[in-house]
Amino acid sequence: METENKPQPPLLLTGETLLDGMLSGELADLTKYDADIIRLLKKHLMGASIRSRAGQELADDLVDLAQQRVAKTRPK
Amino acid sequence: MLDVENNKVLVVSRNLTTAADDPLPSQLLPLLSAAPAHRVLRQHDLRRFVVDMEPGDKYAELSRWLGLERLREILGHLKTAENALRKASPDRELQERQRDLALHTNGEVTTLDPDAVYSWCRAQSGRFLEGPPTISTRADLAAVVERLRVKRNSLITSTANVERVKARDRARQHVTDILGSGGSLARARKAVAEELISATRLETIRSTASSPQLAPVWTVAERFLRTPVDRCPICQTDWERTEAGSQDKALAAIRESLVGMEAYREAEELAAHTTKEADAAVVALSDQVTGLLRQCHTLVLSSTPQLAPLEEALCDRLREHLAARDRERLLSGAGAQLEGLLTERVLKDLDGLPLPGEPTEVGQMDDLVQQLTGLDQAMTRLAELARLAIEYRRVEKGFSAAVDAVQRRAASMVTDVVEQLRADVEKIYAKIHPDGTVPAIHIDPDTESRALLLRVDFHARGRTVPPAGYLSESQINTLGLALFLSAVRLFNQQFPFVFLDDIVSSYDVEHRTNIVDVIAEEFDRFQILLTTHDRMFFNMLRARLSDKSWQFETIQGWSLEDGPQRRSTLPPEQEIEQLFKAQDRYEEAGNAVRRFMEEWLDRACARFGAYTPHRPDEKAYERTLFDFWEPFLKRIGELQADFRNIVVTSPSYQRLKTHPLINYYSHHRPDPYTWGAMGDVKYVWENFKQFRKLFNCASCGNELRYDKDNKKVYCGCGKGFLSQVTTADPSQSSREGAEPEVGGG
Repeated sequence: METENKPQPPLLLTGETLLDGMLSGELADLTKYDADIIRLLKKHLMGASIRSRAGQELADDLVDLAQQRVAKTRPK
Repeated sequence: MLDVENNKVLVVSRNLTTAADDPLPSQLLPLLSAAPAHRVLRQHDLRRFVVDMEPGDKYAELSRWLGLERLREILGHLKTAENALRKASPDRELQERQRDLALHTNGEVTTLDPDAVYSWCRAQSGRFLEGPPTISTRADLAAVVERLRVKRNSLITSTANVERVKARDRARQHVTDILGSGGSLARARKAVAEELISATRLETIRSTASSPQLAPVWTVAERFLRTPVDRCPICQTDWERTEAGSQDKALAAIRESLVGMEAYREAEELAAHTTKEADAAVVALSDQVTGLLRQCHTLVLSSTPQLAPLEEALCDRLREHLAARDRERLLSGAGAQLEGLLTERVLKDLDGLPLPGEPTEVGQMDDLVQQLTGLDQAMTRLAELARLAIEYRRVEKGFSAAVDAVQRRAASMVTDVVEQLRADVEKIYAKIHPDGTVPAIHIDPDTESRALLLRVDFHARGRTVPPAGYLSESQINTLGLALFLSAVRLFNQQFPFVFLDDIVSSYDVEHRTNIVDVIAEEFDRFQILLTTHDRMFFNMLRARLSDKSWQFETIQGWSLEDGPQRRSTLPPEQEIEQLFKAQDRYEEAGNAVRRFMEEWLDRACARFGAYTPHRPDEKAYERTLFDFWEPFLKRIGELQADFRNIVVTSPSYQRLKTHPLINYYSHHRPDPYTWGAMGDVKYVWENFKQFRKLFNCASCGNELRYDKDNKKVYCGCGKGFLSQVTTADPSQSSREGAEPEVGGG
């Protein structure tokens, strides 16, 4: 028994695809969201497997981000 | 399995043994994770989700479909990041540094206000200097601190305490020189350790080297034996009668000995060197300790009695000619004691050393210098922290915005998807049970307690009950089937495949027809494997789906060696056409046509509500053409006028209604049907095909349906019933195939 070739409907958003979909969609709007923060979210939470310390590592990177931005604005 | 997009074929095969474990092949895992809803439904599974599973198990199932565990994991990590980010906020240190400001200004300045701080510094410094100095920058502050130190020292040197102050300062210097990271104690330890290492190595080599003191002799002998001689120059014996056996062997032995002696000589030199270094380091250490002890005597420190024996051990004993191991042991013990004494006692004694006669201003100036230095450090750090806090809050705010978006979307996702599932379940349920009251279905997941309640409205809207005990078996099975199909359609989009194993056993003809419609109309992009042992259902499927590229097979037999023997089955219409080609098989063709008509009429009677009584004998369910045909014609006469007129005025209807063969073969006879000729069969067949077309929608081609409540013929495509009648020329009505178009709605 064979299927007919029909155009596929858009993929359903589930827990498996929600964040990945948002990172490629809504959160990609750089007028609303910080690009560096979105980059870090992608680094730590996107993909098939997530490290067990992803939350802490994400926080560490966010702190580093703030410190790097301060370093750039530090008076010489 | 064929990956259509990438044009790749995945083949997974394995040998199966009865009662053996059958683990899931790893190649299928990515596939199954992309399609979390179950793909195989059996008859006994229909009730499973609706009735048999506990709420917790149902939630687990829904959680798997929705990927809620993954979502929970992500939200957990975001929460962890939020909390960790909050803890890392510089606000806490900011507050502590501001408290430092208050501490260093005796509570007079509590916030980072450089002007206020400098003003306070000016006022305080002015007490000891000639009037308030100018302080408006860090450099100004440092300059004032230096002026205060100079002033303070001048006050001290003008008193009799100068010698005690000098002794104290010298003692502090000695302690620093001894204890520092590159101090004399550390250097002595290192040198003594190296001495021990080299001494140990020398011992090792000495044990292997032979008579090393004879190295000069062997050197001369080696040089001498480079020139061939007839006999040993020492004992004047011919080489053949010596222990070596030959001049060459003697020379080789001497050279080997010299190599070992060379290594020994090097080790000896190194040991001597490290000993010399250790001696120097020990002397430097003992000199420092002696100097410290002298100052402690001058100051009469309470720790002096403990320091004296250590000074003796370090100065006298360490300087003796001790073996490296002994020296290392002595220094280790004495050094540890010295370190502890200096840290715990001597430094504290020096810090608390009373200096009678010292002017009170000195202490006050010391305190002020300490405060000014602390203020400078606090202000510097506060400025940095203020900048960091600004950026930190920006990052925190940006992160919170993203997290809020994810949380909002997650909350709505569950609600939206469950509602989508629920609506689809109701839709499929309504298609299978269009006549009955469709219960409003409630799917309520509780993410906190991890339970899922599946309930339906019973008797009145809002009165929700569990399905079991209130719905009939058929309704429960339909609810289970609708849930399964909806889950597959919603969650397995990346793997549109489903296996339905004999699921229609509990359904009557009408509902089976509806199930076939659901499969044909709602799952046309799915690959479906469907099995049944019911011949009637099988034929129904063939008739309904033969134009939708389905393949049909029957299992003719089974053997242990070869397993089931399958035979492809043509759609009934094709089967009939094939029989027509064999001109002499008109009996078979006739029976095939009759069976086709019976099966179609059986469904049509169920669909349009034509009452068809069963026979009150032992073959009660073997109904014939007559059992369907007459009731169906009667029913047509009761349908809405516009549709009825189209049917009854059609040539095919007119021909079939009065055809003697139909009437003849409609009566139940114990003998098999006999057809006169192939022409008779073809005539009936062609007209029946035209008659059948009257009951298909002209827009979408699907079979028309009947709304019993509203007594209306309609089509599932919703285009509306448009009757399009062309006036038939009586002369044309005799031509086969000439039919008006009929719309459904």
